[in-house]
Amino acid sequence: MGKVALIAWHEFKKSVFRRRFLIVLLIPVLIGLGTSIVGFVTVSALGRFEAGKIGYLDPTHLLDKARNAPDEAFVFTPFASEDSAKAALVRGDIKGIIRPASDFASSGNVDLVYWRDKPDKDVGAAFGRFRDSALLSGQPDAIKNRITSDVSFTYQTPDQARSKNDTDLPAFIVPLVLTVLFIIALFGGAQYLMQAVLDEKENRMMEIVVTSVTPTQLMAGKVTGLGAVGMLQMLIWLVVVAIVLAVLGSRVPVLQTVSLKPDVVALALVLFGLQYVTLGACMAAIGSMVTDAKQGQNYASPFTLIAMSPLWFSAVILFDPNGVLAVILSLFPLTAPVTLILRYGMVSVPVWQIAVALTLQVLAAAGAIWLAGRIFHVGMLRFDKGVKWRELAESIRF
Amino acid sequence: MDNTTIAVSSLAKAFGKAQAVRDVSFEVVKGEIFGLLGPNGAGKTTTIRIILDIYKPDHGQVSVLGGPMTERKKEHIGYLPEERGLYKDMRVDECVTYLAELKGVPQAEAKKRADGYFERLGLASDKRKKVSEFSKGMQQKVQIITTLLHQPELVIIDEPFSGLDPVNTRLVQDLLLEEHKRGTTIVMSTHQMYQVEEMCDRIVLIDRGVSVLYGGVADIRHKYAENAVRVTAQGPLPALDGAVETSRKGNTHTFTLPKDLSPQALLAKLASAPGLTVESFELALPTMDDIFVKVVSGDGQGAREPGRQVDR
Repeated sequence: MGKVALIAWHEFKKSVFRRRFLIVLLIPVLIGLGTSIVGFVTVSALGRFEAGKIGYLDPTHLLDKARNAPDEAFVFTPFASEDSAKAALVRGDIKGIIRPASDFASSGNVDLVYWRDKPDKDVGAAFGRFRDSALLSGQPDAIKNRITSDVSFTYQTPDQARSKNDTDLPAFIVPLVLTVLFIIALFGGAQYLMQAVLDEKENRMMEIVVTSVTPTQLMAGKVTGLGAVGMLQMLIWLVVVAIVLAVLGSRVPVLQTVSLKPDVVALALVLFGLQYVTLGACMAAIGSMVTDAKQGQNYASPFTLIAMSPLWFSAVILFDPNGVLAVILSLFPLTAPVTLILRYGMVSVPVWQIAVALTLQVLAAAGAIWLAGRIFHVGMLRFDKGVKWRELAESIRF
Repeated sequence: MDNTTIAVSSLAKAFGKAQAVRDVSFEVVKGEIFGLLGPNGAGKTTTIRIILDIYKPDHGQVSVLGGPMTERKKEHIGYLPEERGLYKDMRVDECVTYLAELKGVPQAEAKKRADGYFERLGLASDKRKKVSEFSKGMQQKVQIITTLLHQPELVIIDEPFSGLDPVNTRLVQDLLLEEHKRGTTIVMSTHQMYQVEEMCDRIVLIDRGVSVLYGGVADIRHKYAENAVRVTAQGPLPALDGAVETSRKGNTHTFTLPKDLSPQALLAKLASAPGLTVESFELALPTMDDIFVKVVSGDGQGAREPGRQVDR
């Protein structure tokens, strides 16, 4: 086994067969599950509170032929008089009373009267559907469905390669989830790489190891090994997401519009893998320069902020996916992966932009590993003091 | 020279304004045990790191195993620095195997050799423990194993006996001597002068970045020997004209002789003295400790001059 591969496998084993790896792997899953469960329970509970009987007054008898739909949350019940409706309201038999407003004749408005808890705002739409059922009584079902159904738009790229309905989940949801998962894996792994280099210095292993391998081999091995850990995390999360979509898709119709397209996943894995190598090498270089993790965090912050910046500008990118800012961020190595994946969900990204971004990513990754090796060479034996910025410039000439 | 393992010539290295090494030159012959000596801050560690290509020299030439250092040659070199460690969170056997694999030893072979060393050094029953669970002395022994496991041609070892009790010191010493018998060249940096006397064939003494003493241990001791003898005898000593007794311990007397009185003449006089039984008679050679202090404190023969080799 080549030495780079040996070091990479050593780092991979050291990370994966550890409790810490499982914890980092499970955190997004648990957060996602927890959020889903809490949301589901909340919505269900609210629904239970908010659903129920609503009384109405119909002096004009326009609603005599109205029928409650079986899948509606609200059930509308007629009352002959306002007094009897109010008595039922006070008793709690109904949650509210719909009665004609004072200007009903000219405006057609109705009032909603309630006792304590205001019924859900959807009661208006539900009552509208209840009213429509009266107006459409006697019509064929096909006419009823056509009139009561919402208008649905379908958006398509000019080359018809991609299309989306407005009932589908927004197209950027999957790319956004991918980028969030990647950022979690990226920063966790990159931080760990910085700490791994610091640990090598603290363990006083540096001087022995560099008499077996070159600094560049050591850096390449560490970055590759921990990059593989990050990719494994991403793959596991993607598999979990795919399983969840497959299981829940049949129960939650809107999820059926979500899919993990192979081209998006493949592009994401390649881009993120390269960025992992670049950022990981930067973190390893920082670990070589400093003497403790706190100092390392300070130096690492600018890289972290730059890599996350497309998320800050996500509204701009999503609003104008082919704009100047989006294109620039798509080409700059530290921001390219997140930006390109966000755009890929919205528009057809020109092939040349993807090609240029990939090329720059490869060059950035190679350059970062080389530079990390140089900086490592200067800083590896600095156990008690860090590397000054002036010495960094000299290290490139070494 | 064909049998030269290391050749260092006029080495110089500065770190900023600090001149760590000014002018160091020496050669290490294949198969010998070579002592690299000097007070703290003399430039020994910097010299070692230059030899191992961890640092590049500002001036001078270094040749290792027949030429400039290459990555391939590193697999034939075992190095144990003074500031050393192990991967604390790894199992001992895995740590040793991994470091051997980095030296090009196949995994199966590395495990086999490691087990042999663990048995030899009394670590077999603990080899599956984490390094952090080992005492300092046990970790030292593991570090020695990692230095020797890949059967290097050249071993450079800084303070090999540091932190070891006498039993383990003897163990490590025996290991190094076995390597020496195998033909391994050993460069040893140590402050334990008695170890230098016991083990080293030749030495170089570096002080303030300059090599100030260089040559065979026996030759150096003879060179720094004053005209002195050590005699152990029972009975009354005769009058010894000109000889001055400089120390006495029980029946052992140390005499400094005048220039006109040779040790042989004194022996003849003692042998013929009535009532005196001479039990031992030897030239009182100075210890390496004495020579070290003398040279470093500036009292040594052959004043320090940059680039001058005092002895070869």
